Amino acid sequence: MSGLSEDTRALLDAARDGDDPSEGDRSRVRAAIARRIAIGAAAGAAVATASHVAGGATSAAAGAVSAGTATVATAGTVATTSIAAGAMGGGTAAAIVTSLGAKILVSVAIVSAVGAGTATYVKHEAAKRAVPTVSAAAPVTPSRSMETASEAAPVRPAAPVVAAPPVAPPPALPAAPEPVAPVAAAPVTAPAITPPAAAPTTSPLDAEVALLQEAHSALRANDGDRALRVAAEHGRRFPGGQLGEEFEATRVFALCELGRVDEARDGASRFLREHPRSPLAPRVANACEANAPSTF
Amino acid sequence: MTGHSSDVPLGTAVATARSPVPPAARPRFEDVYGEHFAFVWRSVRRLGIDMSAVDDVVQDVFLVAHRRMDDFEARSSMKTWLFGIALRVVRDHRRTLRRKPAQLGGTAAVETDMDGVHDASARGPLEHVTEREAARTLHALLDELDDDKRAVLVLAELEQMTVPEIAEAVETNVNTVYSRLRAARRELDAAVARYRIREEQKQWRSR
Repeated sequence: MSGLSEDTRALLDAARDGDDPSEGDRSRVRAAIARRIAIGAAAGAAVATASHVAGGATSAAAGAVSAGTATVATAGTVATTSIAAGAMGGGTAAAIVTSLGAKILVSVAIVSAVGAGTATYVKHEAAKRAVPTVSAAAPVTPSRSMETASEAAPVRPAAPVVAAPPVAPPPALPAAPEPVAPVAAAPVTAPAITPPAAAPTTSPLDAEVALLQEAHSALRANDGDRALRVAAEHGRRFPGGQLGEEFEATRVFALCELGRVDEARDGASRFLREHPRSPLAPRVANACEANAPSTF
Repeated sequence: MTGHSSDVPLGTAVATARSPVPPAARPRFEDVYGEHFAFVWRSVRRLGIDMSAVDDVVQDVFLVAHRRMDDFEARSSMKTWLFGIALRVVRDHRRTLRRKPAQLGGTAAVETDMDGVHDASARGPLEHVTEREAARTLHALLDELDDDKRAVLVLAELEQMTVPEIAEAVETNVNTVYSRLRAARRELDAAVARYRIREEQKQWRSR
């Protein structure tokens, strides 16, 4: 069946390939998705540390899913660990996102969906870059900065997102794509992370995400020393990395965990000065106070 | 959007994806993204999302797909499933925009774009220098169709999907798809004709 005029047909033919994305679009969006998924897992974990409450079944499962995905893009071992972690923490996270489209942060609520914190977080990041005055709690306008960039420079390097970190590549890319056996929730103990399993999905962001997961698993195990070491490793390997903010928060949590309250407070004030609108800000502000230091 | 599909944790997928025996019909998210990103991207554009919002909307489509991967198993085609998700996300996005009228979005910018695109050269109004220009013109004309007709037309004429596939993607029956498609073609033809006249007058005036 045809029934289209010649003009219409010609226009359709001319336009057919005009909507295809560039490689830059592909990697930029992929990085943003990985980020939204991964930070959802990390947010759940951070809250778990703060309150030590096992979550309700539904949202716990949700946490597990968000943790799991991060791992699709990263390493198997880390993945398995953080799934357990997400399951612990999911129920207590303190944010709700009503729908993927809306992404409005309600300050005190329950996580009803995967990646709740994440969606908001990414919006916040975008807003921070585009319009510095937008408050994190307001419904944020979609970021225009990235799109503008992509239109202006259609051929972008395959590096993820704005301000790709000056990175040393993750250590020892696996020669064989399957070095990681399906590990049964073995806690990651070595400070060095497992290299990403599948070469095509490897990116600096994946490596950062893996480190963040490791740091949070250390926090959940009340191992502040290890969390600090991982944060330091992140600072060394990814100066100016995309997840710097998360690692600064992690460091504050870890110092609280270790009872180094003064240092934690210093870190917290610095964090709040540099990232006043961060979704992590409330947790960082109350890092040592929210719960008795002994339970943190 | 509740993560009900989360009953089966992705951990299962992670573990099984590495085992020699593949799990049931559970696709890996990375594979789905790799294979269908371009399709989702251009579909979102063609459903009327402009460049300022396409990143967000495409991200949302894949996040929903990721969360609901379990629902996919019974489906025959990943493409039609993803398109169904895209339709819903696009609709939600538009609804949000309508509540914020100050915001530039949807189709508001297109007319302006088009004015810049066509100089009054010797070219006819429907000859475009680049595919992107042609696509921009097409989007503006597709804006004249309602959402249902637009979706059907995009899948039939630009993605070359069959009518039964389209019926699955837009979750309706085959007869409805046929009638929407007939109407959509008629309306697009009319829109193209009007556009041509408009452009010819513009060129004539500028002489």
